[in-house]
Amino acid sequence: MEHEKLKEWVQLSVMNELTEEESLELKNHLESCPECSAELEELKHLSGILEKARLEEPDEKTLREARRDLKTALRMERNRKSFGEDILEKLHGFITLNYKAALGSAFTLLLGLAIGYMVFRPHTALNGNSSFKPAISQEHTAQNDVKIDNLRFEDSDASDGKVSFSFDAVKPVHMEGNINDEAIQKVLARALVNESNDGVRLRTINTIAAHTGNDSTADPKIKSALISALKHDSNPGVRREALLVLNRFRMDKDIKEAFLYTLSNDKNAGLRVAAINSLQAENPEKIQSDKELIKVLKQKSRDDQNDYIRIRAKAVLQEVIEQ
Amino acid sequence: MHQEENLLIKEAQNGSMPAFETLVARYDRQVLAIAQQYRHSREDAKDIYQEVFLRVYRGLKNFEGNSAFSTWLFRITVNVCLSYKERKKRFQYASIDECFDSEGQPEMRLADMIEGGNAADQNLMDDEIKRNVNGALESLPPKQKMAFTLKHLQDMKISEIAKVMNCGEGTVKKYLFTASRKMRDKLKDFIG
Repeated sequence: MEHEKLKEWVQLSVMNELTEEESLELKNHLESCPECSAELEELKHLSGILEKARLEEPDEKTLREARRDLKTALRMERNRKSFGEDILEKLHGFITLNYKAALGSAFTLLLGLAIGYMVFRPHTALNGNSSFKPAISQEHTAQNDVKIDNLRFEDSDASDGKVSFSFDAVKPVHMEGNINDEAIQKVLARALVNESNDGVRLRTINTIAAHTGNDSTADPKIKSALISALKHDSNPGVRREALLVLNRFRMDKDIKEAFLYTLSNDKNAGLRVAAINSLQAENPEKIQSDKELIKVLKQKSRDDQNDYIRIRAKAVLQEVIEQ
Repeated sequence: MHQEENLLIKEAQNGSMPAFETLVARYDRQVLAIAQQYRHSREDAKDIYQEVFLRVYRGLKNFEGNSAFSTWLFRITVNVCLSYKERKKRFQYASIDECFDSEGQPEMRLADMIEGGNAADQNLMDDEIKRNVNGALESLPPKQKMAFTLKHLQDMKISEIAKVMNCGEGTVKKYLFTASRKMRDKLKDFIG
């Protein structure tokens, strides 16, 4: 057999792709071919390295999130479908009616379609520049896409045929527009502070970050929301992302104060390290003249529970002294 | 298994959501794993996962069973992965298990810091290897990278890879051999 073919088999053997007969033939060849033996050894080494680098299977949390997002997407897909099918049905009805009846009911049908569209449309599209109207009228609360929550009875006694209650009606709103539009930024900033879902807050930060250039000036609303997230968000992942985005903005008093707060107060050691790194990016001369920063660094170099943070704080101080 | 799966597919084609969800649950872990191993990003992997199953949902009525359902599904997965470009420059969602230095390079596991101890040398070495392997994989052209991922990280047979990548086994071998040569070159410091 050709040597080239056997060299190919060497590769295939590491991938477990040879038949028993082929493996045996290769084994015989290897005994008399130092070149192929060396090749095999090297490939086994590579295989071992790949094994070490093998990524772990996706964790349960990621899988759960992916499944949840898919369910939502499928629900929207079905809503879209049923709206389309609804129109097709109506059109089919229109075509099969006799001509006069069709003309007579054309107006009604158009009206029906318009109402159908309003009723079954899954989202209300808003342009970033449009005015934002979250109020939902009483009749709209019966629509499928309005979520009813927190129902509170004011009069649950139906003996007189009447009841009264209040509730929160939440309607999904689709918004589309430039990331720099004020309405878009306002919603993102509010989501960052108020949204209860950790994943949504993270995605909000990612969205902001995707349009944030290095050393750019922060929009005050966005900056304030990011600082609030960095200081107060319960999820360390969200705090960390907020810190990384703030890093991209030109350092100012508020941002520096937020980093100092994190370094002094955050329970998460990784975030405290990230805060030191961010503060260190400042000009050493500026650090030297910043009494508050020097004070915190000295305190951290002495008292932080984490060895690594004490070392990092000392290193930054040392660097400043050497300047 | 095949009969049961065929039944599920028929029910899903007739609009049964429970049947569709059962099909999803049967394969979705592997779809997510391929996407994550190909993109090295959980967020990208979740996007790919969703796109794959939406395409499956939309295309299921046209699935005639000429190939196994899994082959069709993984072919869609491969296509979505290969065509997934955007968000590449998106701000990376960093793992909470990583801590970054000022250049954005992972330097120490957060878990180690929380415990206040030093990361074991072996862990640091393994991280170093992982970073280099990922870097080497990233340098491969998309199809070589996909073939290499499916073979070495998903343990698929070359014949299966050929089906899901919609090409001949010879082409897959060529992808794998070339990728392997490049990987060896890039990782020569570790191979010794």
